[in-house]
Amino acid sequence: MQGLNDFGQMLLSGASIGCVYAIVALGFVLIYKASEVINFAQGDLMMLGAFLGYTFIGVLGMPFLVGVGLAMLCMGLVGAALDRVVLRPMVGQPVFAIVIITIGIGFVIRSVVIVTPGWGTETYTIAAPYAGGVSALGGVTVGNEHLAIIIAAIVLIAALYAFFRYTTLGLAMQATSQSQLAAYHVGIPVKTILSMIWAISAATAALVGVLLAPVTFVHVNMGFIGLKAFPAAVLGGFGSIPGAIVGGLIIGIVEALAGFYLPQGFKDVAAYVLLLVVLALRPQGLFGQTAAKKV
Amino acid sequence: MTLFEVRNLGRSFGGIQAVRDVSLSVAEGEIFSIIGPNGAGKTTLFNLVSRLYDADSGQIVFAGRDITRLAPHRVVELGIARTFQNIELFENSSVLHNLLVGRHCRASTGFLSELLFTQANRRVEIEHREKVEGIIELLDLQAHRNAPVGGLAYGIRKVVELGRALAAEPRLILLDEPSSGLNAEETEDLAFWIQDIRDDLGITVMMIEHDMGLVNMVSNRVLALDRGQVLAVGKPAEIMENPRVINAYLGG
Amino acid sequence: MHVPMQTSYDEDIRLFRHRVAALWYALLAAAVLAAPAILGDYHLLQLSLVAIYAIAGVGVMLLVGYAGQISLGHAAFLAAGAYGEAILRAEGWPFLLSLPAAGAAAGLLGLVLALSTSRLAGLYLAIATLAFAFIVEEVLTRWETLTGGSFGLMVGRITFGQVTIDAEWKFYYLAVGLLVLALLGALNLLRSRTGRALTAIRDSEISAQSLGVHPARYKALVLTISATLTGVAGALYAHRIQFITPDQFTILMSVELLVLVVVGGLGSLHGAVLGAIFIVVLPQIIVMLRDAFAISSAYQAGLDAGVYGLLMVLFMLYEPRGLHGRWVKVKLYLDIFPYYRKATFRRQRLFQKSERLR
Repeated sequence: MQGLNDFGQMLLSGASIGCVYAIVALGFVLIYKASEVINFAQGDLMMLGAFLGYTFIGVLGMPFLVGVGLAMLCMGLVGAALDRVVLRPMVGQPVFAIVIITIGIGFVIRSVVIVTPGWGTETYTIAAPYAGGVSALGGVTVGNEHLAIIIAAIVLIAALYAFFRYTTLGLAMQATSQSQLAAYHVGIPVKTILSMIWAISAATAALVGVLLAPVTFVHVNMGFIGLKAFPAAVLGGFGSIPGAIVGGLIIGIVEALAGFYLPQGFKDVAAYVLLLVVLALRPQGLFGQTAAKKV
Repeated sequence: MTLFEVRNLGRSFGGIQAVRDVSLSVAEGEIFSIIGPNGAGKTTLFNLVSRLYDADSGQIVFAGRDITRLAPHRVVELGIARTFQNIELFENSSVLHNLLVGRHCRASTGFLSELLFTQANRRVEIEHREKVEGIIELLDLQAHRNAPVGGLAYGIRKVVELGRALAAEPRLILLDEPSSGLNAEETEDLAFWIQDIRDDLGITVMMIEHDMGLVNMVSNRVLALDRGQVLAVGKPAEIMENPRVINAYLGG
Repeated sequence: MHVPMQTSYDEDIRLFRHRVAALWYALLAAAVLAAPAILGDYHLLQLSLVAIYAIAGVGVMLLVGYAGQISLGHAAFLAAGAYGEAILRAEGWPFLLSLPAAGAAAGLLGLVLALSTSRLAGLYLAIATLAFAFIVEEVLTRWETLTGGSFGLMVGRITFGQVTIDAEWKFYYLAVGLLVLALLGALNLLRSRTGRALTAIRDSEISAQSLGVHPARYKALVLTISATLTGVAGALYAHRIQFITPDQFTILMSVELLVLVVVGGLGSLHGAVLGAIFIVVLPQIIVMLRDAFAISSAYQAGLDAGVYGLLMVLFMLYEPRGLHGRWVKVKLYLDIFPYYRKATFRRQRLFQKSERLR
């Protein structure tokens, strides 16, 4: 019985970290679908969002939810600004070049965080009002900070689904993802839409960053957690939002199980091993469908 | 003599039947045009032949050999070269370099002899160069030999792509809308080149084309395609008068 | 302006297109050979380091600059070469065997990775190499019996039979000699069928394939060559720093190699060497900047990351052909003064080009 209980707990905490990967992966997928760019800075955007959240809540003493909202807003602006200043001049250039730029952006963000007074390479935590407590779910106890991530992920995904499905702006974004040229021809302001997608992507990154803080602390190396969202996105087939979510959950759970049942060290690389196996056996991801480039 | 044949070829994309039960045969030394409204499945047909797509059903036979399941990179070595609708050149390389890539399938230098650049390798390189110079001369590309293709005018880029396909010494060349984006004068040049390709180089030509003037001028036979199906095959004049073809173009 | 009058096709194929170029390279060779007579040990050490980085740079350049495949995991190949060399030397292998073996070990890793990922579109390779590098880093830390874990490994001196590489100038000649071999091999490949196939894959995989290039095969080949060269550089690096630990081969090293080719100039072997010089000089520039602006050394890590990141962004935005591209422009400007037009090197905008595979 104890073993089963452990297992359930593992699944839940794995799933909550998985939700983090899923949302970061969602950020990749949004940008990828819209512009075919893989944003290697996504993890660092999350890290920057967490630092902003720490400043608003921990330093300035704002209420938790206000701090989260403000951090998301700020990161949304950062995302839009990045698109406007750095990425828009690159429209029409090879994707390869743009990807190198996003790698560079990631490093610049790290640098900014390190040299900012009060941030640096220290470790911080964000005092979430719910942190520390546990909830019992059908005989399995789970930390509130884990539960909060799961709930937030569900809410976020539902909100994004509704946004893309029912709002004009969301539909315009979907159209842009399908074909930038066609969207342009029917009068959608493609450039503005791209900036908005960057904004949404960065804001969701900020949300997970803050939610993750009570679990892993706020640190400049938090961005590396974002790298584990790659396996999640790839598992899901990169172009698919539901795929990214399922991929994230799988990675989170596999990692939790590897940490428990396998020798030390395996936990950290489980996601990457899984990624390489999937790429070798099913390069289109678990859910992706292949479609050839049009010529 | 039949050089190329397609039997009951079919391919669908997510429920849309892009090519449906298409059969055709092209004789050696023929100029065979494919016409049809947008979305008729013409380019899909070419992509099936050059093996970029897998056929769902049917057979593709070239020079007596079934190539329906051949690996895409092996198609050209058997003798089928192609051009693309929206030019697919190697943008960062010179015209010469682009044409030399066309020679890829016509040599088999070993890795070691390339690494050491042996005399044998040098000889092969010079042979390639001689072949490519012949094509540069044929297509009047001398002035642009060392220019990066990225900076060339559209019409010239189209010609470079044609040259690149010719460099592979094919027996059959597939031209996907060779005249699109060309002005009247360039189109006229193209018509002569297409005839030269057939007459002087002995290459069979299959082309997708919208310019009826060009089609009329050079084609031996024309095939009209609509919604993935063959409407009619015959001499250019017959096809132009075929009521089903006219109907398809008028959107009936 | 030099306008060569060509009388044979061979003139386009040979290494030095005309006499003037050959003369400049001869002068450069003389300077490189004479360096130990003029420079002190410190500068020789820096130059050996440039040569080591340049060998790895040639490897990364072939992969990234010519074949257009991004790697974020070349630190793993560097590590494979370094650890391979350290372990084989400790086992008593002679250097003439251990160096090729270390290179081959890295190459083999590259081949395995390539075979399992060669069906992937370009950007997936970046992710796969990144994942691979993390795994290698973890293995180096955990497999303590072989690698000494995070305590690291000592690396002895290089010996050829009776000869010991015990002076800076000897090591310098060895590193430069290997660099020259790497450059010659790369140049030969690039002016042959393989080189053309690589650039063809970079610029349009689909038409490369329609012309008979087997993309998966060439991607596997170039990753193997690239990993091998990086492995050889890693072996030399191990001897250079004499003590290796896993934290020398992190993602930062992979990014450093990427910066090397981006700053040097994608698609040029000159770029690999220029980039190597840049990477070796850069830390000194950063320290100078730091002192100039009186920034505490506590921010060193942040500065490094920021400078690397900014360099990548700025070069891709403003000079995608890197230092070598800038040099070509300056040279043309001087050659044809006063007729230089900015538009000569205007970047092409390629609308509607989609690499999307799904």
